[in-house]
Parts: sequence; C-alpha cells; structure tokens
Amino acid sequence: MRQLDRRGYLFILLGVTLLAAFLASLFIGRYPRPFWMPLRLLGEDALARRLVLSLRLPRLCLSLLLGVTLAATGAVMQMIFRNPLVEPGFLGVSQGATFGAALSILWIGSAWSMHTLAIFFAMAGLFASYVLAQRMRFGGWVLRLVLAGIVVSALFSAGTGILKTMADPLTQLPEITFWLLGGLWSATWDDVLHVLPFVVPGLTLVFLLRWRLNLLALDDETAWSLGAAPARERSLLLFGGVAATASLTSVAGIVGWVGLIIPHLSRRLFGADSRYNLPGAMLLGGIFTILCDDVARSLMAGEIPLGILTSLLGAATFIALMITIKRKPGS
Amino acid sequence: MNEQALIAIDDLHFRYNPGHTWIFNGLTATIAASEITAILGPNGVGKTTLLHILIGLLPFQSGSIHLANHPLDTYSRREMSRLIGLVPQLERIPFPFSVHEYVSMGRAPHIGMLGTPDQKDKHRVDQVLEILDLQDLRERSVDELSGGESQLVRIARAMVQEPRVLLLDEPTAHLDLGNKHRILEVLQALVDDRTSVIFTTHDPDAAFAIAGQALLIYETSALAFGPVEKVLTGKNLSHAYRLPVEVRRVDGRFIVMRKEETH
Amino acid sequence: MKHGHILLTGLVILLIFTLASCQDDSTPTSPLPTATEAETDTAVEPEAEVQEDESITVVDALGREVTFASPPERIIIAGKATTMVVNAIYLFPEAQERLVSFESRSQRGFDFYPLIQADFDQLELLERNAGPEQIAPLKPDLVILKSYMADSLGATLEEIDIPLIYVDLETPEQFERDISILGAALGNPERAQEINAYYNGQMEMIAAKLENIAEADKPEVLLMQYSDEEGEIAFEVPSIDWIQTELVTLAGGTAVWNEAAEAGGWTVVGFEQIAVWNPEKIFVINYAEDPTAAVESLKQNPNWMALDAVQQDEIYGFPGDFWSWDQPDPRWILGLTWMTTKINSEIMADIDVQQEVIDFYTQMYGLESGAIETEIIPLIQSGLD
Repeated sequence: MRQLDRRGYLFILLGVTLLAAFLASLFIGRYPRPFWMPLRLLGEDALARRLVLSLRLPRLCLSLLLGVTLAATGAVMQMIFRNPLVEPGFLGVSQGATFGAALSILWIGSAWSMHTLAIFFAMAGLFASYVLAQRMRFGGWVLRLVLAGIVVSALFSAGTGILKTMADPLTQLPEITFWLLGGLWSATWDDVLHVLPFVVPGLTLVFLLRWRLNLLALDDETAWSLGAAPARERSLLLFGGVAATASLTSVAGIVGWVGLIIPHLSRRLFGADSRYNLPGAMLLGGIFTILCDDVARSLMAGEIPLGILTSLLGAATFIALMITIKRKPGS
Repeated sequence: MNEQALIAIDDLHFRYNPGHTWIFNGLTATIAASEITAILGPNGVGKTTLLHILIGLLPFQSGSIHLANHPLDTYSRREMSRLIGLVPQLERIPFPFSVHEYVSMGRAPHIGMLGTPDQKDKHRVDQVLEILDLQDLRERSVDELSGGESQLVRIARAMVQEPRVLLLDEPTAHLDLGNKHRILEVLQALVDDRTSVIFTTHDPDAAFAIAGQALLIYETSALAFGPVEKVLTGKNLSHAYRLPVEVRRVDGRFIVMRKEETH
Repeated sequence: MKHGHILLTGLVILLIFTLASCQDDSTPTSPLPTATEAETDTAVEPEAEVQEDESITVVDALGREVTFASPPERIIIAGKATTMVVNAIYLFPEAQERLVSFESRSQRGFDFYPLIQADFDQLELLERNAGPEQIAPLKPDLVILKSYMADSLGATLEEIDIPLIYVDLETPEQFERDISILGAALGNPERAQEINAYYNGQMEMIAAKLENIAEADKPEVLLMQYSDEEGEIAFEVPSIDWIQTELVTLAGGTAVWNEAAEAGGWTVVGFEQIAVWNPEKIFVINYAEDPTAAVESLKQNPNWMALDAVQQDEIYGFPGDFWSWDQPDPRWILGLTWMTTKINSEIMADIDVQQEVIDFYTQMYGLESGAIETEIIPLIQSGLD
C-alpha cells in the first residue's frame, strides 16, 4: 500500500541519518578547535586518537542509548497511561534516581556507588508507586498510578532537598546541581558496560512488544477479551523501560523532554500504531540526543549540561508541533 | 446439562467486594450454541457485569460456569480469546488509530504476545471490512467516526478475532433507527455463519427482532431463560421492569406495549 | 513532506557544524605531553637528548607518583574551587609563564592577577564545567585538580593520557604539603621551602605568644557568615573540619559552635542559639560585600545589642582584599594573624597588621611595596583597626 511505502522510506531515511549523525559526531568537539576535527588528525595525533576512541566514542554510544531509551520508554508510558503528557521520569523514577545520586555524592563519593544507588532508588520509586497504587481505594488503575507517582516523587524530592542543605556548597552541591541538569562529559567505556545489562534487555523487550502495546492502550475489558493480561503486561513493559532509563540516568543525570517530545513527533510521522511509531521514536530519539550532545561539548569552552539543551530544543519543538496541528477534515 | 449448551451457568454468586451487595445470588441459566441470545433486565441489574464474568475478567465467589462443557477457569487466556470476543458499549480510544489499525488489534489472539500482524491477518481484516461495508473508512481515524460507524468498527474488531461466541454490550443503545437495524442484520448474518451471538439490551424489541433465546435477569437471579417468546411474556416483563406491559402479536411479530389502565 | 523537513534540518545542522570549523587558529603547536605515572608500569624512557637532572618525580596529595621528563610548561588548573589553587601556584614566579589556563566560574577578585602578571588578559580561560573536550585543545602537559575530582574529571583526563597532579590545600597541614608538591612540579623546591618557612614562621610566632594562656582563659569566639539574599538574612557557621574553625583555634580562641556545626557545609543558626552561646568575640564574614555594613547593622539591632560581644564592642567584620582572608586561600595566614590580634590584643600589641600585609605580598607574590600600598591596602574591607 502507499502508506507502507512511505513509512518504509521514512525508516530508511531516519536510519541513514542516525548513522551519519553518529559517524560525523566523532569529529565534532572542541579539539583541536571548536566543532570540526579534520580526519587526517586521527592518523597523526595520538591525543586526538585517544580523545576519539576513549572519550568521544563511548560518549556517543551513551547519548545514542540515552536518546533511544528515553524515547522508547516515553512512548511506552504514553500508551500505557493513555496520556500523551507523561514521560519516563514519571512515577518517582527521576526523583528517586536524583535522591540516590545525591546520597552517593554526599557520603560515598565514588562513581560506582552513584550508578548503583541511582538505579536502586529509581526502581524503588517505581515499586513504591506501584504498591501505593495497589493500596489506594478509589479511582481507576491509571489514576491511582498517577497519584501515587506524584506522591512518591514529592517524597524523594523533599529528601533530595534535605541532602542539598547538608551538602558542601563548594564541592558537593555543584556536583549535585550539575547532575540534576544532566551531562555526559565524564562518560567512559566503563559507563557503557554498566548500562548495557539493563538497556539491552529492556529495549529488546519493548521492541518485541511494540505491536502489543496498542492493545494495552485500549480499555481493560477490550484488552482482556483479546487475550491480554493488561495489568501484568503493562507492568512488564514499564519495568523493562524504567530499568533501562534508570541505569542511563545514573550515568547521564536527569535529561528531560526527550521522552515527552520525541514520541509525539514520531506519532505525527508514523501514525498512532506503535508498531511503527515506537521504532520511529527510537531512531528520532537517538538522532536528537546525539545532536544535543554535540552542541553541549562544542559550543563553549565549558560543558553545557545536556538537560538544558534537550529542554530548550525539546520545548521549542513542542511549541512548533502544537502550532502546526493539522486541521481534521470535516471538523 | 444440555449437551448443546454453549454456556452453562449454575448457581452463580458474585459481588465486587466483601461488604458489597451481591450482584448475583444464585443465577442459573443455559445458553445454546449457534443462536442469538438476548440478555435483558432493568438498568443496573448487572448485564454488563455478567458479560465481564463470562470472559473471565471478574472472578466469581461460588457456583460454576461451563463454556463448551469445560469449566471457565480451565481455559488459558489465549484459548479464551480465540473462543469469545467482546464488543463493549463504548470505548475510550486515546490515540487516533486508523480504522484499519484498530480492527487489526482484533487479530491479537492469533498473533501472540511478541508478534506483529502478517499478510494473513491483513487479509482477514480487509475481508471483514468488506463484509461490513466499511472499506471506505479504512484510513479514517477512529475518533472521526459517527456513532453507528464506531459500533460497526468495534464489531469488525471482534469479528477478525474469529471467535465462536460474540458478546455485545447494548449494541443498539445509542443508534438511530437505520443504524440499529443495520447492526441487527450483521448479527443475524454472524449466526448464519455459525458464530453464536449473545447481546445485552434493555430494549425487548431488539430481542424480539432477532433473538431466538433470551435470559431475563431480575434482582440477583434469572427470572426466566429459554426461547424468547416463552421468556419475554407480558407477565415476566411487567414483573422485571415494574411496569404493566403486555406483549402483542402483530403481523407475525411481537411488540411490547404499555398496558392500558383498566378502571 | 514531513520527511523532507527532517532531512533538511539534519543537513543544515551538520552543515553549520562543518562551516563553523573556520574558527580561531590559536592552537598551540607544542609537542605532546610526555609524562608517565610510575604506578601504571608504563615506564617511558626519557629522550636521549634530555638531561637526566631535568626529570622530576612528584608524589601528589593522593600518593600517586608522577614523573616528568622536564618541568611541565603548560599547566592548567581545572575542576572546582580553582581560584584558591591558582592563588597558591602564583606564589611561585614560574607560574607566570607556565600557567596556561584555569576554569573560572566568576570574575571576582580577578583584578589581583594583573598585578602579578601583566599579560594576564591574554590567558584563554576555561568556562565552568570544562571537561576533557575543552581542556585537550589547550594541550596541557599537566593538569592540577583537587583530590575529590579524582573519580570524575580526573578519570576522564587519564583516558586521554593527560598527566595529573592532585592537591587539597584545605587546611594548614595540607597547605604545607601541597606547596611542596607544587614546588616539585615547577622544578623549584627551594621556593616551596621559602614559602613554608614564612608560613611556619608566622604560625610559630603566634603559637609562642599564646603558649602561656590556659585553655580555660581562651576567649569564646563565634565566627559566622552573614548572608543577605533578597532580604533573607541568615547567619551560618562553618563546618568543624573547615579551615575557618581551625583558624579560630590557632588564633587562641575557643570555637563556640562545635556542637552545632554538621560536617557538611555552612549550617544556619538562629539568633536564639547565638544568644545562648553569648560569645566574647564575634567575627562576621561576608563574601558578597564589605562586612562592615553587616556589622554596623547588627550593632544597631536591639537583639544583638544585648549580647556581651556587641556591648564590649568586640564584634568585627572579617577583613579581606580581593578575597576574604578566611578561606583556604594563601591569604589565610593574614586572616590568622589579624584574628589573633583581635582575640588576644595585649599579647599581639606589637604586631602591625598592615605591615604584615605588606610583608606578605612582598615575600609571597613579589610585589613592590608601592604597588601594594596603592592597589591592595585601600581594598582591605572592614579595616584593620
């Protein structure tokens, strides 16, 4: 059908763009001068070689994974919660991860503990929201989860606030603040290895269930009658997506808006069927985050926190999308 | 138990929570196969709840339900979804799926959890859209459909499931005359094609129009079940709806009329 | 077509990046760094031409042994709290040629640097959160970081083989050790000894004067920061393991806030707590502006007028010039000297603080007394009386 050809073409285009962005970004940075590094430098300059292989390459891998995961998890959450305004950090995940990282920055100080505590508390936030939602007595499942998520986020946020007052303003507080704004400037291959065990299974699960996700966006009775176990399947998807997100958050800090905007954009391009718009979101998310990170490390003589750039560009894109809403025929 | 019974409900007890009132307190009925069965009762008596129990969504406290001679809980989710389809009365669809995308979701029982629709599924969807004369709406967004079109699309979605039994919840409730009859024709065609149809309604006329069997629910149990003209008598209907009515035969068809006050 | 838009945007962005590569050409052409770390067992034989006696080995604050074939010539100070490390390295004359850049978060106090180095404005400074991408283009052969940056910025700089030295410079003891480290790295250990001799000399002088005072007779002192943000006035006491607290003890006072301060950062205390302590001397720090104003306003405050210290006129603004003298900056020795004269005025009566300041800048930074008198003395906030 015509529709399918158009989508197929779009996928190929996005895939090629992603590959091109990835390869080109290896040569974008501040060395030897702002933005572009000539190719031949790799052959001549040992520092350039090490910079590209030991710092830029893992950093690019992480921004790719980050963009893909945030977009995929955002798409999953928007379908599961049947609400186009939710994003991955929801349900206490972002705030939990922040709390864990702040704990580590304050009292332990090693990078390893920061990863572990961030993941632990992010998952704890998800778990707490889930359990709290189970215990609530009124409202539908989705409403209960949303309320529980708000409460758990608020609790963690308060906890982080307390930790911030206890932080050393010269050494620890700026680190917490930078982490809150997100950044990949300290990325190494170790970080990539740390996140892969969470990201690969999580993304695979989400990808395999990309068509099934449609069912989970319908009413419970309908999904049930089609053979789904809605609560269980939604939880499985949430778990996979959030685990991947939490592990990346522990490495990159809080990077917002990607998980909110990219699924919207993808839905515009590919339609409401998540079989197409989920992989589409993954590609778009990867491209978006790679480009943002290029700017983060190249534009100024200091790193710009990644979260600031994704918010700026994400919000701008959101406005553009909202303004150009298609007029429906006959309405 | 009747060997021809598709669904056999025996002494069903159900309530939502302990402390809640009993919705069903000893409901017994059998529903035959390859028939159209209408389930009637006053608003709020639990018709929709009964449908949800039949698809296994709501666990019941005591009694038994047999589907094709096996207890309900011996079926796996997958088996159930290949046997029974549900067409809800209304549906909230949060994203603008196209009609074609939405109807394809009905193929889920044949696709499994990790799959995606293939050519065979696509073919079946197109087939059903043609049968229901919906092929022109194929690329339209489901939130742009009229009431009648939505209802048909929902039925299409259930039809591609290829179930043996189709449950419909108040399928004619919000429809105009023309659409109402169109739906009833579709249901008749389904039964001719060896699918059993069970639909709830509060409108006895719809039941008389196409149903062969009826189940009349009153308070927490079955007031009567069986052939439709035996169940939907003036006496039964008056009792169930607390309204004096009578059933008259006009030109070979049954209609329900308010009884006139006799002084 | 939507996909056309995406492609176009993507190409435009990549194009911008490519075109923007016609940037400045002030990239240095110095050779690659050649330092090695003894503990990683990748010993590099120094070039045959380099004289054996030029090679240096430094043991830094984390106990790492770092070897250089010749003293590093392109030094960068990065990470957080760079200003204090910069001020420490400028105690060495070599720093003027060899310090190539440092991360600067604010420009406060920067009027100081041109006094030492006339061409300070030529320095290409790094902006906040500079990482390996931003540091590498300056081709440093040594980056100095505070030790708590080891796991973050330090780890990534090591990935690209940039030699690192860690320092702390947070307490007088660390100061002495780290000055030696800096001296070793600059190939001028003699100067390090001079600096430490000056500091130790001052501290010994003060200790000698205080030696006959019994613990119980040591005045109770409150050293606090006064901060006024958008009308919200707060009093904060420093952490017990910070240099501020140690200075009070070294100056012959008893710090009253020991129980209140958590080991975190600045702890807010309310006036009631201060009234309970009722210290004999109060020192008021204000990083934002001249503490004199804060002290004056406190003296007018009816609550504060009830305190002993205010009644005895023993409430002082903590002095500073380009930076307040209470911080882990080389000027802490001035803060210590001054505070001792306030806490024990009779014993320190023969000390002229202004002269101490002149001596400090002459010996430590090599400034001329004329320049000191015109550029620095007038800056001293809250006066020296």
